[in-house]
Amino acid sequence: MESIASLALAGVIGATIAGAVIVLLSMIMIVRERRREIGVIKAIGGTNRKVMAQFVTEALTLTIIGSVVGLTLGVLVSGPMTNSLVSNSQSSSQTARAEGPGAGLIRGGFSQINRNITSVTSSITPEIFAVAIGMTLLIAIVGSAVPAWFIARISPAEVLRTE
Amino acid sequence: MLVVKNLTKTFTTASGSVSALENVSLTVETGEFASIIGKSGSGKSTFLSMLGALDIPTSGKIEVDGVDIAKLSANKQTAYRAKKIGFVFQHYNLIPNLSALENVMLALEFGGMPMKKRKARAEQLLTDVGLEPDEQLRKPARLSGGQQQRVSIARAIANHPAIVLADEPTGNLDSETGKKIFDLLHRLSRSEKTTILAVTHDMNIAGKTDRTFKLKDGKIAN
Repeated sequence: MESIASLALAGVIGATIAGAVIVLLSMIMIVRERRREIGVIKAIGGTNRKVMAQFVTEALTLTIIGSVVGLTLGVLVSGPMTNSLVSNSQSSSQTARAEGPGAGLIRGGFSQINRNITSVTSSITPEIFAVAIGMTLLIAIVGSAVPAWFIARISPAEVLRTE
Repeated sequence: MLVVKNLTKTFTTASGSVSALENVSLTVETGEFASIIGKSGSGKSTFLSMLGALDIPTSGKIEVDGVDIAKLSANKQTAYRAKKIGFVFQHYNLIPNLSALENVMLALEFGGMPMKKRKARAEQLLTDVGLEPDEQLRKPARLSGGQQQRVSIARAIANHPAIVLADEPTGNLDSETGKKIFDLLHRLSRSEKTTILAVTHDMNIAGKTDRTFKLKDGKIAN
């Protein structure tokens, strides 16, 4: 049971890192594509802070929409998926039991595995929600910090140079 | 009044230093409509960058209403661009995701106008430059070149700037629309008493401005 829990935790950490990297790359691409627009905003008096705030808001919006969709899908799919995985494991362990030599000796061990597997359930607690929100903010912050640095380095003079 | 004294800008490249501007000096009175002509590479855009506090000169002075903008801190230069300078670009450079009205309101926001007053002021400005109410709600992609340049001019004059810097304002327009845009800028320089400095290739336009400066190899030519 503990190994299942740690496997799930590793999955969450992996998904968080992957999410942060995806948001980071998306934001870098957006900043590169909108380099001219950023230059124009600075040329007409927009401060670095205002431009950065705009892009961090965009990253947050992107992440929140992704989280809401992901969380909704997670809530809807986790129950049936766990049941489906448990029933698959049960049938494969029963097959193994029927084929195994000296079945009487290891019958007790398989019964224990079956009991453990059927007790695997998925649940969503307030703590899990809090962790999900924390992960969302972490992804948004990591994903927009580097693009913000790029934004600060864009010179408004580029608007005239590329005319 | 705009006073430029011994303005020099040198860029350092891999092959050595290149002088884009060399000891440029000129004076433009408040409300005057001046033009700068010169070939490509003569330093026109670099000169506009310096006047608009988009770039820092290597040496020399740029005084706008008695304040040397080259000596301002980065934050003060941003505030100067928001309140004292209006830019009109050849390619309009409107924010594509915002409507014409929102583009003007954005400049008003940077100029520090309270949110409640922005919409009415932006509508008034766009009406003044000849945009109909339904056109004011359109995104730039749904406006013609001339209409986009009108929005760009409305954005430039939104905060009653001391100087409007125009980089080839008619360069992307047909001659008839270009003439209308020139007339609009000319009218604004008179009615708003705004100093306008326009870079142009069009000798017809340059000939109609109050004064013309010719830039050649980074120097003012007589």
